[in-house]
Amino acid sequence: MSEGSYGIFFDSPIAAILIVVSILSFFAPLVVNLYKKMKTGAAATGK
Amino acid sequence: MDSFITALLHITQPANLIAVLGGTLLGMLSGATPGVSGTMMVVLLIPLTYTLEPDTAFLLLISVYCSAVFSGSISAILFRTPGAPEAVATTLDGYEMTKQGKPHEALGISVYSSAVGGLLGGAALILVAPQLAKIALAFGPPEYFAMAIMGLSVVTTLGAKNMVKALLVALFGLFLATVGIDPMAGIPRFTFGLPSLMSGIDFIPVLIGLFAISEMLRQVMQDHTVTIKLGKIKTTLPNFLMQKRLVPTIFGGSVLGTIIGILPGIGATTAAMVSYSEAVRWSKTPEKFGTGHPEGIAAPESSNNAAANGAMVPLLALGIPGSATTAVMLGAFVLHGLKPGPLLFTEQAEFINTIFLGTMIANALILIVAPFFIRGFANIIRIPYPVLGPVILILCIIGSYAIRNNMTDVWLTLGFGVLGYILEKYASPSRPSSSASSSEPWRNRNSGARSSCRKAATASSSTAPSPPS
Repeated sequence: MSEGSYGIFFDSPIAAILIVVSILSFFAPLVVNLYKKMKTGAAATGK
Repeated sequence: MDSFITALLHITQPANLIAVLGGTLLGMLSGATPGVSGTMMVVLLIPLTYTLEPDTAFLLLISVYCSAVFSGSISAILFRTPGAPEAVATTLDGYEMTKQGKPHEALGISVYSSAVGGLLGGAALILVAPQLAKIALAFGPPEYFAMAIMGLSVVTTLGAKNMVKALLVALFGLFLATVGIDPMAGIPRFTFGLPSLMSGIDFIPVLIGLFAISEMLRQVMQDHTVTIKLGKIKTTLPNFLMQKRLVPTIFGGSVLGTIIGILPGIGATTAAMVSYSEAVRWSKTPEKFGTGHPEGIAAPESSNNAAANGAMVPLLALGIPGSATTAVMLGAFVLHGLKPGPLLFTEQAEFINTIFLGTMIANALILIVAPFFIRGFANIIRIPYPVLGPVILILCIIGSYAIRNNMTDVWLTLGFGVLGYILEKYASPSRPSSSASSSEPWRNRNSGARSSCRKAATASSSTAPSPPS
């Protein structure tokens, strides 16, 4: 890392976005399950 | 424009036209035969393409890929046995139409929807891939490293049922990529003193083992013999009214399929299932689905073919495979000394244009060749697996030996075959591992990304549990 550089996450916005997407993708199954539960819950309560 | 005209001249050469036609027929045969997938056929053909020109080799492989996705529906419609996983959704309405005495109509809808879906997906490939490659031209080592991480994380999180198991397999794939002499330090890693492992584990034996041998082992445990015997089957392509009726379904399926195909690690099977369920949701008569409804064939068939073409977008533009078959094709790129990615668009523009044209021709050929294939070969797909399995095994062994005339590759193929079978049966799909090990060739282009990935892989190999053996 050269002097004055803050590393790849600050120097390259694209790399930063891709890394954030990678991290978020690990939560995708969680979100899908939550959505399914909400949908089932809504159907059960009739809302 | 010049490169496009040169590509047009390339593709009209007899060898290339034979490759497209032969590939289409071979793809249909492999896709329609239960227990032989298009991916397996591509794997078996890769070593045979070694002596061919890269253009001819890729036209053959892409034609196999495009037509195999369609032809899984033939046995799904006629025998209720999907020839390929992509055709599972087609079984629901396709076989119902056969039971109602309308197999020719069901096959016609499948042929038409697949060809149109494939052409729309191909058009998206031609439009999107160069734009993506233009953006990727600005990429440096940090972006490539981040993209490798994103590709692997998406494959493990979205493409697999069990995230932890898929992640472990992906890490195992990265570990495989570390075998051989370290190009930076010159130190041999995990070679066990074997000279044949000094250059690393070759990608092709791994592919043949994971995709062909393991699949063959899996299939021999199941009975695939189709006992129903049918006479000569005709294919009736949909008339104008039916075509008009199917337009929204095919268009919707193709758009969904292309988008799902572009996402790494999801593939045509998911695209077909999602499109079927969306077609049911959008329909004014959802109760008709599952009772022999033409839209129930058009939605999954247009979608899986569009997804197959969409999966080639990240492969060509970024070097990231979008599906299992495109991961296998990455091996073919390595074999022919080509590096998929943005530079391919600037340095090998003729090759890329030939691939684009070949994709469109292969998809259009489905419409022309499929009716004849179904008429002539519908009963050939009843070959018993005890005959087919050993033939596949022999082809796998010949293929793995032929690349480097090296017996180590044969042992590696057999070892990875058994490993793939165990992973598929007890642990996790072997796809993340192949995607992980396949990212090695393109990482080599970037020393920064390479060292980062190698560090990650080396660090993780010490913590990752040993694979089942």
